[in-house]
Amino acid sequence: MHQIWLIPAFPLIGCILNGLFGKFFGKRFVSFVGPLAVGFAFLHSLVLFFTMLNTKGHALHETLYTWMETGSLHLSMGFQVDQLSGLFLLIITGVGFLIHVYSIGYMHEEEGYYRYFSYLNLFVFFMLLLVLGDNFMVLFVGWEGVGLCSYLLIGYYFEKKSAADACKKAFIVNRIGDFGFLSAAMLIFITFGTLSFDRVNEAAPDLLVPGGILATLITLFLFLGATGKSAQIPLYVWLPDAMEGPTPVSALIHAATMVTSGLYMLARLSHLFVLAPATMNLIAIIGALTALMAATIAITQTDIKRVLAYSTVSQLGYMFLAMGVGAFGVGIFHVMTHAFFKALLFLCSGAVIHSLHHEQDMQKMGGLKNKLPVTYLTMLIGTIAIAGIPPFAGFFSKDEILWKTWSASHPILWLMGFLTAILTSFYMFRLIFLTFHGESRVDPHTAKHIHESPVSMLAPLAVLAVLSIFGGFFGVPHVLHFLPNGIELYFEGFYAEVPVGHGSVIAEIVLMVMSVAAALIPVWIAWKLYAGNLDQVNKWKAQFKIPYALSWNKYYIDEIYDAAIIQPMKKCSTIVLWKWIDVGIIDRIVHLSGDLARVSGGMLRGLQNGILQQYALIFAMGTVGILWYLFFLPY
Amino acid sequence: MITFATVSDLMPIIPELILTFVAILVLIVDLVGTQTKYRITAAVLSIFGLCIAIVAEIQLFGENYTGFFNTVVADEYSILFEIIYMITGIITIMISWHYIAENKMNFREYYALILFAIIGMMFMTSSTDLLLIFIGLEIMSISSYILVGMMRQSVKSNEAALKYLMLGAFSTGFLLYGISLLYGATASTKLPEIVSHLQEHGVFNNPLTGFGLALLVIGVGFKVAIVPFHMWTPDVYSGAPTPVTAFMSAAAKAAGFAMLIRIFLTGIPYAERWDNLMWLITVLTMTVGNVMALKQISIKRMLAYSSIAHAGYVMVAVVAGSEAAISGIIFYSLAYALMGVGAFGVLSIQSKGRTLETYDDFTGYASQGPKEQVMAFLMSIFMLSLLGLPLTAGFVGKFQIFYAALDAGWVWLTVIAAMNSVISLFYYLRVIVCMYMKDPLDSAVDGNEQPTFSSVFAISGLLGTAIAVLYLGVFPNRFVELAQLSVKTISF
Amino acid sequence: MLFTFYLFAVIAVASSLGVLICRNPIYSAMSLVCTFFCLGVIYILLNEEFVAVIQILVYAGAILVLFLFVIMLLNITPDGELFRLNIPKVIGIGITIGFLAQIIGLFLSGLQYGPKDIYTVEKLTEEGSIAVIGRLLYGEYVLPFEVVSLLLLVAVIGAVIIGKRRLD
Repeated sequence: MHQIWLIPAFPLIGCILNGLFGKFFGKRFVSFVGPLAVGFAFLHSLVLFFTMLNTKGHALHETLYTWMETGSLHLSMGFQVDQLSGLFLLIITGVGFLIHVYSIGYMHEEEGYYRYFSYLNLFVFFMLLLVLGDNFMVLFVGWEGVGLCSYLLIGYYFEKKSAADACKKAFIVNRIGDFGFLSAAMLIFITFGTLSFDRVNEAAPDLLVPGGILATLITLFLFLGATGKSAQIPLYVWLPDAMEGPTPVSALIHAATMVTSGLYMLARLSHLFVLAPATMNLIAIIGALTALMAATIAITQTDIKRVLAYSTVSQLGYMFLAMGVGAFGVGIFHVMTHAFFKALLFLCSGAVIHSLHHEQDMQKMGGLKNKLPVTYLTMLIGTIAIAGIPPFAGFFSKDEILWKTWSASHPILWLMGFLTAILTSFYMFRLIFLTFHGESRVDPHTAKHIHESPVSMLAPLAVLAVLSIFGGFFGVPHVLHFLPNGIELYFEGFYAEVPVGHGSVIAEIVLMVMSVAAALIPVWIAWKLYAGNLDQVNKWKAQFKIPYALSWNKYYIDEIYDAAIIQPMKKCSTIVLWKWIDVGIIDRIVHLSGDLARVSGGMLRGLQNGILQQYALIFAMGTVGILWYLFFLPY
Repeated sequence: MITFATVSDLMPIIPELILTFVAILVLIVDLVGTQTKYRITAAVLSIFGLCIAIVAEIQLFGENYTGFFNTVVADEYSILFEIIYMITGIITIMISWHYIAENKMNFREYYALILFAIIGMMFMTSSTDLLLIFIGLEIMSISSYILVGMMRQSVKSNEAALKYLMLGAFSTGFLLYGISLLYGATASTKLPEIVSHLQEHGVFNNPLTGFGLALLVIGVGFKVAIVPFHMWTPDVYSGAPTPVTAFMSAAAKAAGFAMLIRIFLTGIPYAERWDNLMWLITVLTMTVGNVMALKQISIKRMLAYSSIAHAGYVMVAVVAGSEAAISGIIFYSLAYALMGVGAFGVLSIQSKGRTLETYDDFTGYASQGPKEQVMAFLMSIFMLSLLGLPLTAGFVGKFQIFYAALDAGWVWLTVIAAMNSVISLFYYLRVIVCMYMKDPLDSAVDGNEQPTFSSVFAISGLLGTAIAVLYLGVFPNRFVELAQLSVKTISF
Repeated sequence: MLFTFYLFAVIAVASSLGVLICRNPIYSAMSLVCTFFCLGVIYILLNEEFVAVIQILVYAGAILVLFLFVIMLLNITPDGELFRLNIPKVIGIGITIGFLAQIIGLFLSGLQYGPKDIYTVEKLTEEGSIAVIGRLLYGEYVLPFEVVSLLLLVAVIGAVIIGKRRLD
């Protein structure tokens, strides 16, 4: 036995210890238990990861106990570690551990310190369940659990109204996604008679007609679920608002782990998805659209965390694009590199915010590079990585996605991805230059207190920076072959095969050069615009009023949703449900007798007395109605 | 020649006998003890008696004793349900003591009445004779009428009791009429004989049988509060003393469903008309319960409506009618007994001398003190279980029921039920949001209070309930197996 | 026989309507007595003398005397208003008539009498209804018979609680 269950057990124990005793034993205890719990989980994950590698692609299975057995349904608390979940395990526990350590410094002055760590441990527990489960049931437990923790942590500063609203928004939007997920699970159960991933993947080619309605419907519902959790069009709106939570939370949940669970699910059921080419195309299109749109929004935002949030949405779009063109392994590769550099970027922004006493507006930053040298350096590394400048991590994964898109003969999607790459590089360097270069726009009172963060915060930054530099070498493209393509070997035979056209070597090299250029040129533009004074920017702002306003206001999507969906729904529920059915019909029936009695000045003076008789009246009406239905309704 | 019952006939009703003995003992203790001492003695004595009865039930499990000319059977099915009533009773008594002390509700017969109500439910469940089922139902009902009106200084409580009594009598009329029609058609009050008669002659061929069964459904429908016979629920549940509400919403409903299953799902021939009718009633019950719960200001009333919605979920399984569905109902009854009693139980515990009832009362509850923090945590567990979050008992229950309905081919019904449980998220989570994510209102009382022994007693009961809710969510299989085993024993 | 049944059945229905319509509580109570007597007669027509006697003894003799005592102790004076129709009552009456129509309609639509119980009229006259009832109560139905005592106990407790003067 491999004792897989120990991995989620550690954070759960941490959560319970912190939740129950954290308050009495103090911060020292909490800052000891919280990260350590995840650390142990990481060590055990490492052990299992290498065990799994040694078994040559055979997944480690372990059934903890039978959860429920009813009829033909056999559900067990079953865990599996294979290539996919093994990689996710390392990301979750590894990055999770670093973020826990970082939180010690970042959250030090917060009230409810123990509560924070308790939630965070609980989140890691559910996230591990999500990726470890070998059937839909366990996945669903994790799926709902991470959602719950995410709401709790978004609403952590509940005294801020914006935080409470963001929490509500995330909740409602995710319900729509969950509806898709549950419908899909229901359809899968009806079709396959099982909820186990392995068996669904095995049986899918036999039971489903490729391109058939059922396959398309199931995958569409699954994809709807994925768009909710992974913040894609049309359900991405909650993620930028989720930045109301503490920054380490944004790094862990809303950048590195939870938001990738939709992708995890897609990759897990790849054999199902390849049977529905229509869905695959939709996934690719939605992914590319989301990537481009979020990137165009990110270029005008001034809140440092919002830029990163839109950048996350955009990068998630890339991953969906990869999945959509059938390059599952590459998508997961980007999940990994993105986890490194986006966590790094968020944590760095957290360090900046921490130093500036919770100032998040980049217009009030500038010239910080001398005051925060370590933060500056690590953030620069993260930025280079996300911009896709070789040989940093982002280059390899992003370039591979673009190449796969091109070779799958989707030139328009490739173009969208390419434009996104240009924009990404631009807005990220804009962020760097606005924050760290140029003249200081920091309010003088705060400026006096600027200080570099404590070691507990800087050490995770350093580790993540190293990973962001070297993380890409697992997946070096074939043309460069100075190293074997690790990712491809790693996932060999794991995913469903998709017939991919093979582009020529020349094309691949040309495209690669183009994407390097796409990464480098915007750096220069951003430098010209933002490193010095901002006159030119302001002039352009005035000139391109409409595009600027569109981007700045996020294409008014929130407003459109509000006007097109929420208000009509509110109206509908008020008018139809309340005014029409409730007041109009039910109340009228209920009050008919009472009102008329009062009008006629009869004996029903007391309202309560009247109501009792009305209850009896409705009871009798029900009886007569039921009897009429059963015996007198002609059949 | 006539045959008389012998001592061996007592075997299946040993738990009932034990409880009757204890209940009468509780009444006698009332006469001798002084007041304050008495309260704890009676409570402890009642719990003790319930525990012994549970042990007796466990001893009877698997033996399948029958007695009194097959009037009562102690099959696994009835034993499981009876254990559910008794567990509910134990938790209710644990939370009652505190409530009684705080609300000056010093009627000493309280605990005895709870025990008598449980005895009534047990006869309802374990009997196969409509006569005894009816008597059991009346014992339960009359005990509940009295319990609802026990807070005599409260107008609301009196009013609730009167309403419940009147409407209850009204529904009893229908029930009794139905039984007499069935007797007229089949010349028997014994369920096995009625069922075999119906299997031979069909339900709707003779108006007497169809009519009788329909009236039976109406009578039981009132007890389990399904639409359109639910009108009394919100008023009575919110007027009654909170522990009594908890007890009624969990145990009395479970007993009603146990009876409904015993009568309807044990071999009465299939008729499409029933299914359509039940389908409609089920959808109405779920939807009305959930939609009305959304609009409530008082959490107690919200829980009352939500208990209607939960009855709707159980009705989904009644419609499905398969073995898996019935075992789902057994599980759901236990799950709801725990989480429903838990949620009402939290409402019954006072905070700084105030009774908490509305959302406003719960605003910022979690940050008002250590006791409140524990209570808020418990309430969250119960709410999460009621809304059906995975790893709680509520999820397992809903899962089983929805699965059974799907398996029996009721896809649309399952979809509607799932949509309903999505609606329910909003009002359950609102409680948690109120407690954790808002600051207390200005009207909230500051300062610490010394927890009384009675409140610690009640909270420890709720703590046990919460642990049970989580245990059933994480390790449900043992109980699911028991439920499935027990279903096999009820078919005639 | 049949004529007697219909006569007393009509009187029973009429007097129970009288319970509802009379404004004077004494008249209502007396109408109830009349109803119970008629029911007693119907029991006799069914060869159930014992039940008939019990019916009259318990209901007419004990319970109604209690009613009358209560009415007199409370000194309820008739409020003089006659029975008045208003809309809720009309709806209620409509539903009641509907229910009645349903019952009649059903019974006319092909009522089948079930099998006869073993206790036929011949058997009752041969053994005497008291003996048969006694045997059933202490034989086959001994458990329901005993459990009714619990029901009565609960009812007594309820009465005590309502009657308690001090709310201590």
